[in-house]
Amino acid sequence: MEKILLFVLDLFSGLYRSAGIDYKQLRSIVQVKLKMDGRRQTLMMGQQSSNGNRGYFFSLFIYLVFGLLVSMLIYALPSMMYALTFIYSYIMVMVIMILITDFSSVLLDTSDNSILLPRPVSSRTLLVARITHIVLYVGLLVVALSLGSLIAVAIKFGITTFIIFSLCLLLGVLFSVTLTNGLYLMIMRYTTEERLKNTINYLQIGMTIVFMGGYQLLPRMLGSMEEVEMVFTFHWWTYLIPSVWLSASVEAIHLNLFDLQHSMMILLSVVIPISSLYLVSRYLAPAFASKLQVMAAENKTTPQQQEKASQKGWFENLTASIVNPGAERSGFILTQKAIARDRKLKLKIYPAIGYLVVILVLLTVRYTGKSGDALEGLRSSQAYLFIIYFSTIILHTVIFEISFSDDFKAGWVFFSSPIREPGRILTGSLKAILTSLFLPFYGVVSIIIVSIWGMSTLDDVIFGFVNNLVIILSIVIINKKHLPLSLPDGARASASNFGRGILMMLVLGFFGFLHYGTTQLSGATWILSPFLAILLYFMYKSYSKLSWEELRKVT
Amino acid sequence: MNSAIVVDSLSKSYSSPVLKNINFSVNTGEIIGYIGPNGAGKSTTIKILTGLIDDFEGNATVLGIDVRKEPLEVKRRIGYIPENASLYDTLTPLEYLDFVGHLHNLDTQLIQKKSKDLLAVFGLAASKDDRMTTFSKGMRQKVLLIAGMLHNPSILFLDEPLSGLDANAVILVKEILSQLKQAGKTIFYSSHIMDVVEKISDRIMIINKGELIANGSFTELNAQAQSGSLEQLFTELTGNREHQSVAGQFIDIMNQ
Repeated sequence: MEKILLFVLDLFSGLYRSAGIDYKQLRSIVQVKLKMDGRRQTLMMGQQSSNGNRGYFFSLFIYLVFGLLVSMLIYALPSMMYALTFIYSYIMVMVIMILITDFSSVLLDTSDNSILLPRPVSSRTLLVARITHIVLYVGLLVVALSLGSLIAVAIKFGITTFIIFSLCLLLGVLFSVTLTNGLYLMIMRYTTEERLKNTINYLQIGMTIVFMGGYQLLPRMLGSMEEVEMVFTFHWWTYLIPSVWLSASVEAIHLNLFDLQHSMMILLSVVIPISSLYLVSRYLAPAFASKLQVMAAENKTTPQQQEKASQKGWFENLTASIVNPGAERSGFILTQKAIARDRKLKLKIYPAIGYLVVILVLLTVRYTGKSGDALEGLRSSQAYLFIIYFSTIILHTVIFEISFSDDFKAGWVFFSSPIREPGRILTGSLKAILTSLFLPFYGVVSIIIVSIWGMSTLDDVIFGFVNNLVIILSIVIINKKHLPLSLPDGARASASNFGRGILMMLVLGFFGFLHYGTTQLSGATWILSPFLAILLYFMYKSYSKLSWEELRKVT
Repeated sequence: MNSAIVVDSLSKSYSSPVLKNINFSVNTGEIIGYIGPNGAGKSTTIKILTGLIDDFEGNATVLGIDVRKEPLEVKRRIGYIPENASLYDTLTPLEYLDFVGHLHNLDTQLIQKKSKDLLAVFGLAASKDDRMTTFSKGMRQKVLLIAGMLHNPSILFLDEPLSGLDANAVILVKEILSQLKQAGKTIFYSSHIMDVVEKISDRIMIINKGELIANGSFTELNAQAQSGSLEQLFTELTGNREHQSVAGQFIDIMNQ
């Protein structure tokens, strides 16, 4: 792929040379950038692609497949306006999302400055090389996203419409890129670099959830498309949607229809992208350059933002009461802060939680059937048991992920400290996961369950909570044990264990059925609870007594 | 007159002044040790001389070329090994050196041969095709040193070049530097490691709070201050004489 792109680039070498660019230098910069794109771990592929060059190109392939699926709308929908609006929206949203999530590292990378600037490369060549790289990157992306739709449009509507469709696509992409840049520049202008990285982090989390949910939802959406109206009607708010402008423009030319509405839309499609490009480059970009310079000058002393003192006070008091001083407290604090601050960890935990929510909603809905009165159907079922026990998976994911860190080497501090029972660190870490993630999540779940199924499920919620703890403790006791943040990402494969995953599902299933059994006998939960509490206590004790020998056995 | 570097009333300020009216010149074939406390303006001086910063006051020429007017010409002739430098670490050393060589418009075959041989000399032959993400600090530093010298520059600017290197590599690099000097290259060396500076430098310049406060060979400087070692001299000149009491404070708090 890299070679093909460079071959294409070579065709334009004369053009570059005549513009006073050192083409050889430009070519090697672009080549290196493409090579690094191929090796960068893309968001979609996550950790799996840590070796091999397939990451980026594999994600392009996925986009291509998705694009083909979406292009079927052109045939599935009778209304051309609707079909094109969906397709333009899809492509534009995807371009923006991908630019923000995967490309942000490229845009914000300052290592470029320290590597390239000391070399005899003119700033003009450097700038053009950067733009060339971005154009190639976005171009490839757009081709992957839109290839299906381009073909479908050409076949269904003919060559003239295809050309107009492509032109409008270009305008749409231009607008998306400008918008993304504008967004960056705005954030950069009004906040710190740290805040910007956090914002990107949350967008990445959001995108992962949308994407994973999309796999589940898109086929369903396609299925229910028949119910959409046949004829597109213009409202005042349709003038606010860029993809509507573009598809109206295509329709206007396809049907040779130039009434007031369509003419307005054509005007918007052309004027807005171009004027926004002008505005961004005129007013926001210069400020960005100077901001970057300031950042480079003062980057050595960027202080970590302090939490509000009052907030810290009561929370620290609260946590101090549930953990023992010493190693347990250390494990607790480390895990708590990592969950709150480590962006990479957040990027693994929150999408997993979000995905679980999507799955839960989908399965619950399916469980209750397609009847019109979904809520009634849901009430008569016992789907809440399912929800309660699936929540354990969150705990399982987080406990697995907390072992990994980019700073895994810093784990030496555990080994050099005089800790007799490293199990204490593990229980501290577990308590942090429970308090900062699981309790809030389970709390929300409980409220939802009680509000749908009524107060009678309150004992189920509490019983389920205890069971969840028993399940998770039995899982951590069976599983390989690792200190928090002490493993490199590369150890992921050897740390996970398929057999034990199955075991976990069995344990989960056992408790799920146990609980189901108790719902058949009134009062059974109250009888079982004390036994479970005692079991829980002993499991906790044994976990906290874990010795160095046992910990070493697995590492 | 055979000056490799001439700096004439050089001043630079960001929000506060970083360099205040600096003047010096460096002869061809000299090794200059450029030292100063953190934030004294060492890196800024080097960035100006290597053509990375162009908004400064005063004049600076490198090999007779004005760094402000023709930074590209300067960059072509010098080698710069920056402090805590970044690398494109998803590349392999060979790929990275190939890339850097092409930025200097060197011949592809020459780059290949030189990089392979230089990597082998530094003991990196086995890792030449591994991605640098897994490299230790010392290995990265070796790649950076090669990348800075691949194009056979006439002047070398080194900012803390020995960081992360093991003892053998340090001796090797020191030897390379002194042989480079024999071959007529000029070396501008900035570091915190005083005894290395003391041993390899022909002339030492000390900068403090943006001002050049000493300029001369170690024996000359020592004759003025009679302090025994460069470290003591440095402490004396940069005006930090409170080390003893600060250390005492540290011990007191530790004992609490």
